[in-house]
Amino acid sequence: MKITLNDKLVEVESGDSLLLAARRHGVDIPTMCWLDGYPHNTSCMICVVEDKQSGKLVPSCSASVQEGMVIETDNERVREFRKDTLDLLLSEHIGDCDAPCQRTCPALMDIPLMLRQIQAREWRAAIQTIKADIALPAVLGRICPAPCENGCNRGKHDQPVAICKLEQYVADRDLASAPWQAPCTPATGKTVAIVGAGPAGLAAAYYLQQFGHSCTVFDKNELPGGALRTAIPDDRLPKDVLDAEIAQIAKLGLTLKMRVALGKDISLDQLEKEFDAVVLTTGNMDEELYRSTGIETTKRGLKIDRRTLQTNRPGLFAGGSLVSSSQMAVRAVGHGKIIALSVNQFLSGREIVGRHKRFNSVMGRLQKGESSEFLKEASTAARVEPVAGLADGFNQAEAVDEALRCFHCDCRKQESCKLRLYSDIYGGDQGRYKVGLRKKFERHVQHDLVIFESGKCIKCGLCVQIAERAGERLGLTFINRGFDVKVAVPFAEALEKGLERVARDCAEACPTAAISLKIGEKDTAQSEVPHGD
Amino acid sequence: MAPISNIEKASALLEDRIDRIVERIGRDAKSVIPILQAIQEEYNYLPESALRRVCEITEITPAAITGVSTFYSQFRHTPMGEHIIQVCNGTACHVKGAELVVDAFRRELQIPDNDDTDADRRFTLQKVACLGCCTLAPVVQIDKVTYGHVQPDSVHRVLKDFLSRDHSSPTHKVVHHDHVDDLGEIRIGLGSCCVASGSGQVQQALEQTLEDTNVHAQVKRVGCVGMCHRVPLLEILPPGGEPVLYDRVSPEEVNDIVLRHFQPASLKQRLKSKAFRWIENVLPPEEGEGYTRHALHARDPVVDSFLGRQQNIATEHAGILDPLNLDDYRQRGGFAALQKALSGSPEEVIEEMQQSGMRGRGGAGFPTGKKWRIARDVEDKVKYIICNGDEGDPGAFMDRMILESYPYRVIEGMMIGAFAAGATEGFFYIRAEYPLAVQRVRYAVYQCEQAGLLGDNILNSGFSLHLNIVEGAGAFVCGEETALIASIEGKRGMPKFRPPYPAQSGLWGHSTLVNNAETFATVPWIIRNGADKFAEMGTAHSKGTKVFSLAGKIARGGLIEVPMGITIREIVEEIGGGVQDGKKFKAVQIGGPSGGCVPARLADTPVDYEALLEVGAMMGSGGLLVMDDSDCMVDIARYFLSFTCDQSCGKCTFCRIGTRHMLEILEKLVAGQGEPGDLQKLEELAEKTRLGSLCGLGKTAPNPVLTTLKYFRDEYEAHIQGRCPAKKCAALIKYEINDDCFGCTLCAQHCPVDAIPVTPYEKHVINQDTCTKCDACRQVCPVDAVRIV
Repeated sequence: MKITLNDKLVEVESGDSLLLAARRHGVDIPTMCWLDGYPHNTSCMICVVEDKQSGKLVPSCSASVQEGMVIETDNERVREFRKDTLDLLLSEHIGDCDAPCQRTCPALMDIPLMLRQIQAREWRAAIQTIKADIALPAVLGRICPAPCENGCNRGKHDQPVAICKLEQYVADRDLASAPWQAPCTPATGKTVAIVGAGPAGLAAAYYLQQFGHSCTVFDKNELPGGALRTAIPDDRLPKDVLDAEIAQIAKLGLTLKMRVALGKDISLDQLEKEFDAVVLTTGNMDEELYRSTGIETTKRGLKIDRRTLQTNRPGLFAGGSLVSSSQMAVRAVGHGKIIALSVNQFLSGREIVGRHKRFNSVMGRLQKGESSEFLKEASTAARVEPVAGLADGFNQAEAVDEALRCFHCDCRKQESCKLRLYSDIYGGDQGRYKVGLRKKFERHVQHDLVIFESGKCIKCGLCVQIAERAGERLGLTFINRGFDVKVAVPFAEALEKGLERVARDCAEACPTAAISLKIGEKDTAQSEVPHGD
Repeated sequence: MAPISNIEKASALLEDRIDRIVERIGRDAKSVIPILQAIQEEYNYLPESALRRVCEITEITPAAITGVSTFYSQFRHTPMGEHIIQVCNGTACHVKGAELVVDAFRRELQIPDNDDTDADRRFTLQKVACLGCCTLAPVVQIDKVTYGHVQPDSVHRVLKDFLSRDHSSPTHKVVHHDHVDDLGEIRIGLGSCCVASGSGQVQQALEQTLEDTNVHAQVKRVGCVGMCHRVPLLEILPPGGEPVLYDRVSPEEVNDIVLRHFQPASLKQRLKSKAFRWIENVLPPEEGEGYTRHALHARDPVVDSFLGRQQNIATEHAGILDPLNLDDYRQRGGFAALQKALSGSPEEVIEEMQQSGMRGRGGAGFPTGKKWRIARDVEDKVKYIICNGDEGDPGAFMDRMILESYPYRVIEGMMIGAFAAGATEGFFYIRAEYPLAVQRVRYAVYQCEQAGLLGDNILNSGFSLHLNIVEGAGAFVCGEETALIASIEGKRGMPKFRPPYPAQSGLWGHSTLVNNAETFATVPWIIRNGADKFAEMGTAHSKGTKVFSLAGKIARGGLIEVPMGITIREIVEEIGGGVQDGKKFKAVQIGGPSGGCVPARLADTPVDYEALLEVGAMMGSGGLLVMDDSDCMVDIARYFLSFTCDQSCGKCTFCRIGTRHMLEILEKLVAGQGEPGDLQKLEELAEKTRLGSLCGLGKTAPNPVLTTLKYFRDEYEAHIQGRCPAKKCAALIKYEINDDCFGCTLCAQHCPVDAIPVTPYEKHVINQDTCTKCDACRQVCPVDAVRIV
């Protein structure tokens, strides 16, 4: 039979669902509660398409093709409906995509990953994780006010994980012998001028060099480091640590031109003429200078697009305390990374978006009794105080013990979760429908292979179906009905009793991270991802 | 031999009990619900060890038994107290203050908020969806004893009365009368409403009187007369005289009533009898005390207007027919339609049904003949027929009444349907909350089997039909046909996407014809009298009659059958006698949780599928709840939403979460915490839930919200501003005593929380901190000095 699919007349198999028929013609329709080979569940409703003749939105996983149908799979009405679906599902989604520590880190460092690498004593991997976002970790480990630790959920139980000191430990250890050097892509031939060798400028140069762009950093001072060198006493930040870390950045091949002052020794026009892009990270605000060049300013400093850090002049970017009233070095370092991304996008002629911002589910403050759920996977010990004193930081055993205190709040399916994926595509908004009192966060960890976090379940029923078909002795079942419906093992037995055979299949089929593979399992499943030495 | 521990003994005993239950019911997957019902009957709850035992010895899996036993409201997983107090939370009871009654029981029994059973484990308090006695609202059932018109300050008396009863003797006994003299007939209504209001005791008193006086009169149990606002009813047909109907009869009055119409056999007996008093008093009957006020002649204007506009098709012979007497049914034309159908072809039956314009009475109004045609045309060696008696609307009780009063008629309709569709096996799916209906249908099926009306080769026609009875276990969503089918299959009652429709692929994958009980009850009349005669009644697209349960703030509530096209106003004002207590008619909620609120100004809307849809309501189940100006529309919307939210199966996103968010907004509004923007958000959610839900439950759940928002938006806005114009929402009102108070202390005596200090001869004052706004003080004040502000 024939149907009209997105304005095209196509031949379809009678008996096929609209979803299958569309897929056979290369039209992709999002699904969450549907799994090939199993009866449809018609639960999530993300797969709706519009039947133009009846004007109805129908779930394509369940509706069969009918002769002469006119179907649209991705028009505005359909997309809006999918967003509504997601908004409702998100309103009861109890879990964080990125952990609160990462979300509150101005440089957005993947802290939980670093902590797991410390737990596993994977030092090379840990420094890579850190340096992916923080170019000066040995420095920041000493001076950062650690907003991440304010965000840390562990803090609501006893004391936050000593993230900053752990970062210092990993960085110090790295510097101590054969430091890890970031690989650079082959030179692009593009050049970038960076004015100001403070944390923002150095960080920008660090990542731009890795992208293959050749950077020249100008600074009016004798030595690089900016405020890190001038404003912080030695006992907090020994100069040799700063020097060592800057040397690591310099190793990537950038050119440092010291004692060159903008506006005096060199003009902006000149830089813009000579370089493919210009980055301003001078720290101090010389209003006169900038106004004369026609750059817009605000009370806080240079006016920039907050997402891309581009000024009103194309190709001119700015960051650090030049654009913000914050003096936090970690924010400056974070700016450096964003600038590098924006400049790279600019230089390769792509749309400038800065750091790609993904959808982030936020669970919110821990409620009473919830920390015990997280403690199932964390050491119960109190925050470790380094024997050597705070300035010298942890030794290896202390570092590992402290890292083991991590609650592992971040999602185990950050990349594969369909709820997050579609929320990115359709603009899911978790705050649109607020639930008065959210359900309690639960985490079941006893199973060898998988973790079960019930608050992330969208009640699609796939795991119930998989367990049933596999003939699991107990399997899984829905309990209760309506808003209180949940998936559980019959007779309140433990998960390992319910899923004796198909735990992995369930974790892989689960559209969210309600059922997810344990960390070690993830490693074997994704062995192509390098994890250091 | 090793000694056997008590635990081992107990477990052996349990295993033995479970084994016997399974033996009796069956070992296949579909037996799960009846098995669970039997276990609960035995233990009052479902012990886990019992469920595990079931899984050991049957095909039922742990996943299935856990899923099913947590889906249906009937099942409990924790032990109950010695007695169960069920407070009806139906719509009629809600508007008459059921919530306050629950609170009162809680206080009286000191049941903590997080529990449902008192410390001594004597009473377990439960809210139930609907007991189907809406005209007696608020209704409370303690074990098997039903109390009507329960008020917060009467719960103490109710409990006392219950505990004073002798629970060892059976409440109702069935009495048979073999000798039939032509001496007259006494008819006693034994529908659930009647029984709940005490007709069982009236029947016992009647038996006693007849024995004492030796009066020869035939006592006949009859089904529901519909005049539930006046139960218990006793109708006397004296030999050769006019029938007289007595309403609200108490057992003490029976003797006098009987003797008023019948001569005792001898003077001696007359003197011996309690009637002696009557003779002594020599009062003219019309002026006698106690009962004359109840005597109603059928020609009385009140009765006339209640019954006069009605047209009995599904309820034909209301008040005359003995529900269980097969001969009685046959003598009055019963099974003539079946014979007529069997003498022709299925095609002719379907043709007749299509001609009649009959549409399904379950709510959606799908043409019955068309449905039968589709089922007929499907090629399937095995076909089923199902009677949907899962009347879950918390304000409707017509299916219950039809099944209780006319079981043979429903069976006959089903047989005709089965003949038309080609089905050979059928199921009654009846709510377990309707035990009398289940019992009577079971008995009627048995009688039909004995008489050769059910079984193989019925009336030598070659047509065979076997009927089974399945009891629902408490899930409104099972009124939806695909969920109902899942339930019969022994699964959680989750609806499925249609198509395929059940007629194409239903029960166990076979073609299945599902019709509502009222639909089947209408079929015999159509076949007997012809499609044209049926089609003469009603409007262009809504033919025939419709049964409604009329309840709420109405003078004469009850069960009515009216021709389609009659206006809401005619029903409320003419049949129902207008709004109770002289209050102002505000709105009717028609169609229950799926329906809408129709304001008084649109009361001229006719009862017609399309006309009702046009005003945002729907025919729905046929619940018709009348509201006056003391009913808050926001509260009504909240009430219905809390019902649908609780009854949502939880399968699809929009119904599961959308209704929940709507409810939360409504709860905020009635709690006085509404914010600007809430109404838009509510409307938006309602629209999306209507659009995005999988089945009828979710699609229609927003109707009460949408209609009240449409017609009573000002009330919603008032709530945002912190006012409840109807003075109903507890968080937004205060009770105060004004200067009219002369210090009679009645209010203080009735206050259940001692919020009013006793100050005789002085003006009383209410302590606002402790007042629970139960309304008891206002109700007892003799001078209307208690005011809601």
